[in-house]
Amino acid sequence: MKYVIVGASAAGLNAARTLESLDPQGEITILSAEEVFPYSKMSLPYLLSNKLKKRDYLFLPHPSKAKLLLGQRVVKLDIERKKVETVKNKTFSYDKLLIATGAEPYVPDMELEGSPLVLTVRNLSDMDKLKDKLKKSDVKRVILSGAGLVNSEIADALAELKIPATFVIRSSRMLSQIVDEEGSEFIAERAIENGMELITGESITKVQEKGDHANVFLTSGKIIQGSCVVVGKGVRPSIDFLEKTPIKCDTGILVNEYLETSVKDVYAAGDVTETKDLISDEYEMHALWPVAMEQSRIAATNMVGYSWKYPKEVSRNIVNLFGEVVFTGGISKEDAYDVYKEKESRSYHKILVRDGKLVGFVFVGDVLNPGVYLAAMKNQWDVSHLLNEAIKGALSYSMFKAPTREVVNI
Amino acid sequence: MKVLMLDQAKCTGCRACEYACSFEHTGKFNPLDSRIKVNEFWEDLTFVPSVCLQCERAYCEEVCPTSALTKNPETGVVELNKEKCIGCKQCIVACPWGSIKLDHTGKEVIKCDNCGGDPACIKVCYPGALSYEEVEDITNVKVQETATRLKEIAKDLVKGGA
Repeated sequence: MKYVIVGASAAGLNAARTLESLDPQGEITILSAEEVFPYSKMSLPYLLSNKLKKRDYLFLPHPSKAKLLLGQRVVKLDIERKKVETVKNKTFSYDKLLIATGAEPYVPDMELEGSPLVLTVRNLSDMDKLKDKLKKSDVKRVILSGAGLVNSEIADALAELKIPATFVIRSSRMLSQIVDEEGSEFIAERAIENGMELITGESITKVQEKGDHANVFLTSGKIIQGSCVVVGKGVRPSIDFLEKTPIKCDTGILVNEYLETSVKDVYAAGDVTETKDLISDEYEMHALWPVAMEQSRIAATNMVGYSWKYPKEVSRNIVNLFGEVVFTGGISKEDAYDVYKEKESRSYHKILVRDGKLVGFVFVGDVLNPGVYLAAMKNQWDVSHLLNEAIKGALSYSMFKAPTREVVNI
Repeated sequence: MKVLMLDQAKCTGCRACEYACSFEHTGKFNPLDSRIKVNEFWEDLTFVPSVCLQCERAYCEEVCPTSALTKNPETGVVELNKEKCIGCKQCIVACPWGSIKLDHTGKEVIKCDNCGGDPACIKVCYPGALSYEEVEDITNVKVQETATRLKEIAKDLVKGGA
């Protein structure tokens, strides 16, 4: 069997590993758009903050048998002939194809795109550019356009390096895609404590190069200065090469419960996909590292010929920001169903419960067993008798199991 | 290969293992730094110790973006390389059992490492709920235990039928 994997990040490489173990005779080719050896994108902010102690730790383990080809961005997919064509005019034929091309940063304002002082942070080269700008510029402050997950993580890394930053936020608050207003407020307080500046209700209209730094013009006419502008306005799945194919896409590739696309023998996994959400029961993007690992393992297993159903997914995030752990899941940016909140000076907890089951939560500050919260939500375990423990952040796995004495006494 | 074996029926809930674990790893007696946890069910007066199962294909290992977690093929232990750990906590969310967790500061990731082959917890477990045994031996013991239980049931059935 000939397998071709398009994309060599978390999903692509994990799929290759799975294929290697399930079909040792299979011929596996991985096509990477990037010229550098596959690395962990998730760790990039940690590279900036030097929490990643060696640059080498960034690189992902190589699959043992699969052929990995660098600099082969796929530009065309021929469904009829079962072939892909790369930017270097090479074609690869497949029996089973996995699309794991991930996503690219979205720059909403075309005017900003292309300016040497406007950066996005998705790839290793982006991070190197940012480090270089910080070193060379006479102004250290970094202007962060948008206060989503990526920019918040960058800000956290900058705080670690004692470099000031200014958030320019179009909406009224930080992390509006992930936490509710109270959670935002809490994180914003910590951000300000750590030397961040917040400008809300504004966008950047123009970035002007001025010596070694940038003059940044805002909608109100205000001008601020920084070493560079980092745009963190979310990402878009890399699906351009699918334009002329019948593969069904919305924002990302729509896959069925076996992670197969609308075209037979073509599968998709990772940030490029859209799958059913457990809580909303609708197709959603769940662009997360652990989701990519899970999807790629299941997709690869199905490519070999098994039928492993991919369960409905739940969105979640855990992130370290300004000394606090921010952990969210399910419905987290608004209130819905039964809402329980607990706010103290250095922590904010909220859980949302529907018919006795967890459908959302926000924890800023301490939470003991995040994994158990996710398991409880994914499996829709009954928490109606555990609300007190749940809101305290103290759920533990064994609380859901019948006491073993009953089991022991057969 | 040796594994940490739990016999829930024998646990009295004294939590000495938690203190021993914490002391072994940190030099302090803080149950929050213990890799093993005794879950208490007061309404049933039942105590259930729980500790990392050292999964064969571990979720924590799979999601670790820097390969700081790896399974040692010789000892079976999923080992955490602190040098490589960036503290992103993906492993903690990935483990549905809460067996890899944060220490008392809420910052550092900790998990059971079988104390490198000489677990401190078993030495203080006087009821014998915890032991460190060869996998093969445990299998035999379990087979025998189950057989003994089934024998009792069979005896009852024979008596009932007679």
